[in-house]
Amino acid sequence: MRDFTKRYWTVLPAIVLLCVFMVGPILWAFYGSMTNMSLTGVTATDTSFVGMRNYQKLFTDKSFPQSVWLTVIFVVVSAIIAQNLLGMTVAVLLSRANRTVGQFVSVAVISAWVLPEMVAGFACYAFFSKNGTLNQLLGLFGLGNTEWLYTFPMFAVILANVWRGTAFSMMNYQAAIGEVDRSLTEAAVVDGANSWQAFIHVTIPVIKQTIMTNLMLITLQTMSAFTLIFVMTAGGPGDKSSTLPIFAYKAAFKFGDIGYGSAIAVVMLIIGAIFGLVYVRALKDEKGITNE
Amino acid sequence: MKTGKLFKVAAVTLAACMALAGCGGGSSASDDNTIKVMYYKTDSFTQFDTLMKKVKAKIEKENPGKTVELQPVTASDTDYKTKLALAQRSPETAPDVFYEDSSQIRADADAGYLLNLDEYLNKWDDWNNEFTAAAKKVGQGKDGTYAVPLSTDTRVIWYNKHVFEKAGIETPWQPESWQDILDAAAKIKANVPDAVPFNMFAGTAIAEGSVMQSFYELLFGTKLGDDALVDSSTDKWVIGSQGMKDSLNFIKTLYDKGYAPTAAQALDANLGSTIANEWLPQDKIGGTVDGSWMPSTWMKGGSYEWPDYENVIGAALFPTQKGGDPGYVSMSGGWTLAVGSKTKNAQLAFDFVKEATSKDNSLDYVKKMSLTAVRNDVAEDKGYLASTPYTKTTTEAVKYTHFRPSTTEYTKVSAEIQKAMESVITGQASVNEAAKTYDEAVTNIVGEENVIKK
Repeated sequence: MRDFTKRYWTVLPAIVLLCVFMVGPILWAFYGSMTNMSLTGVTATDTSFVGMRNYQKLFTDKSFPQSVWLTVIFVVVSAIIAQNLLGMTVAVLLSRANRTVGQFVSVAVISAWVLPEMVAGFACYAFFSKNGTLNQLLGLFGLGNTEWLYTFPMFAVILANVWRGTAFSMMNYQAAIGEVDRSLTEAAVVDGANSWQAFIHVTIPVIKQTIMTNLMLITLQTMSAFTLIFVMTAGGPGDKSSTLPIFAYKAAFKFGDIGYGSAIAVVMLIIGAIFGLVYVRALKDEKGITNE
Repeated sequence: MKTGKLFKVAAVTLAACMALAGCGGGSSASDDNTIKVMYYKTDSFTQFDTLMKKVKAKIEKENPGKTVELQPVTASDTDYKTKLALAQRSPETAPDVFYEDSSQIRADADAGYLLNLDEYLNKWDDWNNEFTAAAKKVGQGKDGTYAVPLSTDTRVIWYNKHVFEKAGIETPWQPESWQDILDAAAKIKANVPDAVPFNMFAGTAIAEGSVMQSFYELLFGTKLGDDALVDSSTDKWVIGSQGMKDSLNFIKTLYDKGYAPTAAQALDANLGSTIANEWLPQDKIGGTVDGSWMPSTWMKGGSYEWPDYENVIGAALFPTQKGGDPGYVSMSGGWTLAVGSKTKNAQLAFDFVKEATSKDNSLDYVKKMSLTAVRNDVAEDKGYLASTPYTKTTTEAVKYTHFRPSTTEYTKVSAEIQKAMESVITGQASVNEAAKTYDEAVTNIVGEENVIKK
């Protein structure tokens, strides 16, 4: 016990802060989701406990499965597939590129990541909107009458998220690839492997931990992406791009039903936790080959 | 090992928490000598801001040692409502005086956000003598008056005479039924292909605007009239009415036949200002249904100054479905000021409201925004009557006007109507499906015992 106190008293402030700003709101969300709390009206101040009624409503709400499905598409396509693979590709290419090209590409990719999400959202809105850059470019070829944000809202927000988020994966992988002991790859080459085989059989297993961590982080980041979608389409048209965070926001703040909005947020929290557990389990099972 | 596991659990929790990003807001606590005033402004809407600044200067001069802290929120009116409701939830952030949309009054009064003003109003001569009976109704809650109106408004059709004449429609134009509107739109579509024939707002992006400036003009002009939304004799919400279906069907027809803007344009929150600032002045639209404040955009000091508007733009009343009694339909809301229930300085807050709604300030605001007077002394003022050539039409509309039901569930029901409209114009649902979804949603919101089938 003494040991424990000795070792952990330094992190106490951090734990207190976490409790106040993370655990507190989460517990509040759990509580809120079991009440009929609303933004205005009688139930705004005279709130009563309604048990699981918000959850019952959620699971019979036609918009809910649709919203979950859109979230899954958004996460899988934009993060797990596109950001992840593109980030890896760029990182590998950069490790072989010459300095000038490397710096130019890094700056170009990272600048999207550095922009505040709001600004990135507006930039993408300006790109995809009816009189936007994309349509003007297409106009050169006699095309350019597509209302991207209206006709293909998911396509637009997915592309926007890929543009914005690839830098994160790229930087992670760049760091990990830089750490791979060159003697391992060189040994593989001496044994007759071509560079593709060396990458698949040596580099990937060595950086497996980074891949899993990166996947976990981008999955959770993308699942909770709000600003980008909200600025571009506000979840519309109708609810064609209402992923779970937008769905929760609309329920709580646009339609004033805070209890219901909290219930959606709690479901998101649980989905996020499940993803997290799966990744952590995978990390534990496959320790991977290390440099040692 | 045990602690290692603990940390992993903590890490997962932490990561999952990213899904729940919280946000906090700054606050400045008010004391006995300060009142906070909250309202909204945008780039193209600064008139209210000007008024508040003027009142602040006067109140501070008359009450030495007191401070009025203005908190303008730069946002659309929908976002402002959310922001205001959130601020009202905590005594730390609750403003003392605020702009309150008339549709929110009942709900906010029930929530305990608003101060009952009866005690103060009874002692105010102007309230007893000058405010019209209709104006006093606007701020009514369950058990007293909760807000003081600055102005009211009506909704009419604004049409572009150039486009109408090019299409071969005689002006001045006054439709007498829904069919007249469709006929005019068809002529414009055929003869003036580069103009949008006729706009009626639809969908959730325009929010309250798409019910107030579009759907209710239709719904209250159907057979049930003023009872089309809430049955006045039983106070129950109406479901399953033919009027609801007919109104949705009219909107659908307008969009399906290409008379209205495209569905994509209709879902753009900025459509209203695009029409006012670009389409109407540039002869790109035949007509639109909008509030009596429309000319304020074009008047001197408006966001799009346009000296010639009086010669180009005409105003007409919106007709009932088949021209039946009473002939026309309009909707009224209004700008009101309310006092927060958590205020520590109710008298000063009320004095602020009193000053803001005084004859001079009310007249000035009503003229600048081309709104409708709520005070007799303003209505009789020569300057008011001469402020725009449309004052006659927009004031006549008061005769045919309707008010939104002032019940606490109203906001939620309104959201359901907006969804229904959006689903029919985007083709996500047929008229019957949308009407059915609406009926179910309303029953859910108000409870089975509070709906009536008509």
